Amino acid sequence: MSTIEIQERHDVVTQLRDPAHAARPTVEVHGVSKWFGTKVAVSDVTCSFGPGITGLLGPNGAGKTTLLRTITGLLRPSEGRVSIFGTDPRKDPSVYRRIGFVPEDDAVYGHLSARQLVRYAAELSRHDASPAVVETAIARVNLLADADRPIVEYSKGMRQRAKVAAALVNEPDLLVLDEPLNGADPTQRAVLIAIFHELAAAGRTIIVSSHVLAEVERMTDRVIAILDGKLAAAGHIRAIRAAMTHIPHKVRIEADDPRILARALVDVPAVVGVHFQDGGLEVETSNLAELGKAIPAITVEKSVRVTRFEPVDASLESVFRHLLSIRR
Amino acid sequence: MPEPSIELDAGAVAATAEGTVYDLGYTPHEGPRLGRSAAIRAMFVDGSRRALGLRRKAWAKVLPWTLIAAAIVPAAWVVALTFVVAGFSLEDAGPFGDPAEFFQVIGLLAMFFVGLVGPTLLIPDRRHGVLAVYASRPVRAADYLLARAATLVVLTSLFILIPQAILYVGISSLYVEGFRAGLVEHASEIPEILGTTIAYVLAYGAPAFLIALFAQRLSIASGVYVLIMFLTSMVVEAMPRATDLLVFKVMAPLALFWNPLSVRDWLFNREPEDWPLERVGLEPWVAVATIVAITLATVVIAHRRYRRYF
Repeated sequence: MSTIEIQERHDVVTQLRDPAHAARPTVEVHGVSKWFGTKVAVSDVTCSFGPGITGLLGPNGAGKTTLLRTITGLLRPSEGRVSIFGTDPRKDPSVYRRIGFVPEDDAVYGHLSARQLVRYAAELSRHDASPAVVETAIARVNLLADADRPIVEYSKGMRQRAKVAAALVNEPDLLVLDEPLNGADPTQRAVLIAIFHELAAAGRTIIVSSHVLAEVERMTDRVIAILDGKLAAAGHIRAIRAAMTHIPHKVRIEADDPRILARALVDVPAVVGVHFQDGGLEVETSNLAELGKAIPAITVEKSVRVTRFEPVDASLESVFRHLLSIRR
Repeated sequence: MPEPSIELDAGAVAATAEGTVYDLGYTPHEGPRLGRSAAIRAMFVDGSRRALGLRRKAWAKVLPWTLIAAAIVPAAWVVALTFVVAGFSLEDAGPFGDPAEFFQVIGLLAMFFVGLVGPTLLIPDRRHGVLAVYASRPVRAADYLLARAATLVVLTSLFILIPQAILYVGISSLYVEGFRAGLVEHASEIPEILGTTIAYVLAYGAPAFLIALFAQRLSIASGVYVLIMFLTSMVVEAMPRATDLLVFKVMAPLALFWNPLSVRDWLFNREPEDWPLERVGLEPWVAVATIVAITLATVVIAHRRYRRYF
């Protein structure tokens, strides 16, 4: 085996272990940077996306939209390359037949009705633009009742659904959604999220960008986080949290005698702080596993009954807050 | 090691020892799909509706339809007179009695029409971020520009040719040997009419398209276009007659407004009038070369500019 082959195999193995890479990638981002004049919007991002839903997270201005527009070929990377289904979309636009894109901004013609917009999208995607196909796409987003009104009269949430219908009409294998739930009411959000889950279950690759973390958490537990244009974290939310060993984990513990438990816990080396809170304890630990092992021994030795043991900062919001604190 | 086989539950489409994917009723499309031409045709139809203000509020229709009415109504009026007024002759119809002469009337209106339609086809998509609608689909920059240019060419051609067709019918009706013989007799002028129409469409359309590639607002683009067309003509108008100075020979073809008229006289084999080219002793083919050069430059610049969006 040549040195190059060994290196390639090593790269593949490394990628498989790297949570920034999907096991069966359909979208691959290789060292992509994008700058506008002196402003670096995306800096050397390497990651991949596969079937299922992946959340792309980041605060406003982090570079999410730039990365999505680069992935979808709307922007040419200043450096690096993007491949979709093994093809560079800027060199082979036919790959767009398999892509649906919902941009963040209101990129729709206000004078068109949802039905006209979806039909136009089908024609541009070179899909079947027959009334039945158009009707199906509109029905999926529950917009049939208003399908013939001009989009300019729609609420923000309805416009979002019209854009999603236009993105779905060509039955894309890759769906790229930039803040797709903006302006949608709770019922509409539930409908859209159910659609995304359905498509993901059917093996479609879905990339969802959002700064509303609770929404992303409802859709997926695999995320890629971007901060200041750089890849800040990737993988499953709990795994990312577990990797933040320098930030103490917070655990809510409830027991029949919290004072005795607190006194015992301060002697555990992994415990860095204990606070009384709402009749229970909030324990900060540098090693969650070690704390988990210590608790049974303490309960036996001190005759304390633990009724609740729950990590309270493994939610996406907590993980993201920690990521932001690292940046600062 | 191969995956152990799993017996699928009802409704399951795939299963392993660790998970199952259920069929939620997603049925992929198996029917026919459209081709590239369908996408271009869709953009052409969209552009035509936009240019004419169709499916838009009333104010969007005012300008294009006022110009269309200004082009068609006088021609229709002259034709109506030929049927109604006894003894109405071609001489009474002025420029309306001669297709070549009529180009001077319709040409001015066509310039305003092009100045309105060209920017309308390009600027709003850029300004309102709607290019993403096209760029995220299997549409190349060339497809988009081709569809937009085709809209401009077809609408402007119709703008010129419909009044010409009306007059053709009217003139033929005055033919002493009968209407049918008149149609046949005047059919010999159709190639010249078509050729001159192409010259007008390209000579006026290419600069409008070029300005619309860069302008940010419709009103500014239309204003700059009309200004350029008139200013270049006025500058050349001010040139001394029968001059041999090189600078005037270079400037004469840049009188963009007059170039199609030089082409018209050439095609209709008319005695050249005092157009800028003729004034400095240049042949009509220079007008054709100028129109072609500006059109080609517009094509190249448009493609280079729009590649960044696609």
